[in-house]
Amino acid sequence: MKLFIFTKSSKKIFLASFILLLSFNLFSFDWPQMETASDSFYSYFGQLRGNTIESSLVFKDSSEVKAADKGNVIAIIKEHDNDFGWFESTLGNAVIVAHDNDLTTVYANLDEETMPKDLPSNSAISTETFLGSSGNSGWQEGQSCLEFQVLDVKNKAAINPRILMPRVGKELPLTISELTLDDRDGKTTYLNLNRKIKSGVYTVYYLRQTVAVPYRTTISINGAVVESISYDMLKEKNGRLCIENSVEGNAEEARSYSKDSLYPDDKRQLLGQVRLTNGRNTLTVSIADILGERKSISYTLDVY
Amino acid sequence: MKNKEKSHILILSAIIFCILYIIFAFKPLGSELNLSPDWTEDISRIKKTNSKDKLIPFRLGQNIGYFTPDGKIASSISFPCKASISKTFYTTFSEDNSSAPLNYADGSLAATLNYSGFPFFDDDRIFVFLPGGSSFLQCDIRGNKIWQYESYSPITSFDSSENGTVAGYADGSIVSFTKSGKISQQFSPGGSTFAVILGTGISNDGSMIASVSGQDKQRFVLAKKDGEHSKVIFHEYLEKDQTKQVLVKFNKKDNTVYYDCNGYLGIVDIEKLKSAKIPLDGEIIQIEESSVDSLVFILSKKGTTYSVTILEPFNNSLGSFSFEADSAFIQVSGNALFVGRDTKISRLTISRK
Repeated sequence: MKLFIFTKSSKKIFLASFILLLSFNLFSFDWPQMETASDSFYSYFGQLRGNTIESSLVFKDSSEVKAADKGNVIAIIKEHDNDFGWFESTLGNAVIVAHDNDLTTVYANLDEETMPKDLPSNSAISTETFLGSSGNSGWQEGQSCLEFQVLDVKNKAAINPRILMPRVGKELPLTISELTLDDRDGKTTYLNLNRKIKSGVYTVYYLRQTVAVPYRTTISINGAVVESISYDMLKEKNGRLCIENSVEGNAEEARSYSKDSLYPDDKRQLLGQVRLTNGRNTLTVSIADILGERKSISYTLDVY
Repeated sequence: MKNKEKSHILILSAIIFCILYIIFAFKPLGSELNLSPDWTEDISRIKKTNSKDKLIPFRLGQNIGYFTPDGKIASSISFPCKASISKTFYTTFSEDNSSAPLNYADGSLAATLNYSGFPFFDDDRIFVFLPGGSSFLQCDIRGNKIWQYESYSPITSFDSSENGTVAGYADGSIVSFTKSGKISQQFSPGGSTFAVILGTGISNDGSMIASVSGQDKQRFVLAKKDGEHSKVIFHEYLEKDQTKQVLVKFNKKDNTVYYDCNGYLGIVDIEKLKSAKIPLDGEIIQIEESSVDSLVFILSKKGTTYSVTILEPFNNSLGSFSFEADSAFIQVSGNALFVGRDTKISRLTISRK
């Protein structure tokens, strides 16, 4: 049986998100290229990308690329496709700009021929300074488009660029389907097929959408939020780039999830960990987009 | 009379001075370096080689391949998108690469690198730079991942040696790794208004890291592993900032480090902790060292003009020559300097006369 609910604890989470957005000086960046509708990017922050978690926002249309805010050009990465022995960045040709508030933006996958020749000697730039046109110099999947990153150097985190950018139009629709529970031995239970489950600790997954990424996922048992994962930033932990969770009222349970935990395979995406105890358990999963629009699904489980 | 005596004394003093000068300032004339051309070969003229032939890698425009010291082009492979080549391995791959062949220099297949990203070979070390620009992994010869490191910040510089790997990042941090991927050193050179690493090099023994970093008071820093910490043993500020990625390289004996400092070659004597700068026009793209007299060859380019500058330790510039090309490389083997230019490779024998 499916239920759509909106709990008090969820409201608190969204309030916290709102405060977070304000702390980043909401919409502090201009568009780094021509406007793109919220549901029309090629690839979103937090998505599975190759063997890593996506730390960029990849646009879908080729365009002239411009600085999203005033700042200083601190580095220019080049393809080095004619030079012997240089490593080649998967960003291709890229411009890196330092801004106020310890934020840095990265404009990657540019066409070298279009990059201004005087950029190196003109390091202080203003908003909308032309940085080049998007090209096909970096690692990409069939799109010659801008790859845009925002870094918070002070907190050592890659920030979801969409938090700080203008947003136009509707978000991509989010869907929750094919929930599975993995026990500690790795045995998978498909909730569509079986809702009679042995008590214990389980890791909960749902079917990954190939493009859309939620801004936040929340998992609750009997109305109490047990874990929430936010796709607002990525931080390095023990040499792995991780998404961090929050466990309501229990900071000790805070966990970081690397690609291997978040995306154990090509199909599934992590929702969190739950402890199921004897009796009837109502498992509720919610996923929300960056505007706070949520979708929820609940399952009543018979735990023995 | 007095004037005559005075002039005698002056003449005598001058003679004594001249004799002393000749004795103490005597220095034999150094032998001159001679580069004599041996052969020039077009990379399209493939010839059969023996399995025992030494193969030297080349990269010219959209072609990679190998040649022998005696002038046989063993292979020349055109690639439409991207490629990586070292003396041991080569591969070609696309912009959306998720699986690339790991080929030995003789063309035989060693393994397949089943990772999304750009492969990179440094001698016999195999790396793959992952999508997003901030993560990379090292593989073994079977294509299996040995270790992986992910950062939040883009990699802006990279180097590896027999005993370690180093990556510099856009946030101004440097991380070095042991052969097994354990973090060996991790620090931020700082000292500038904006933190960023533009170039890093790691010594052959893995204990030292050199870097060019920062904007607004850009500086060169040489750090050495000191227990659990990294100790800066030498630093100097650069006269003019640069935003491009720069080459930083230790010599084979780990007693000298070279770096590109915007119109100059920076040279640091690690034992005496003194530095020198030699004017070089353009961007330094390759530094190669000869086993003969420890001569150092620097390839730099400005537009389509490439220059090869020859140094002898510590900072004596012996000469240079320039040529026009769209792409070029240098390689050094024994007493030979190989210069590649567009579609041709030439051998020059190095001798002293």
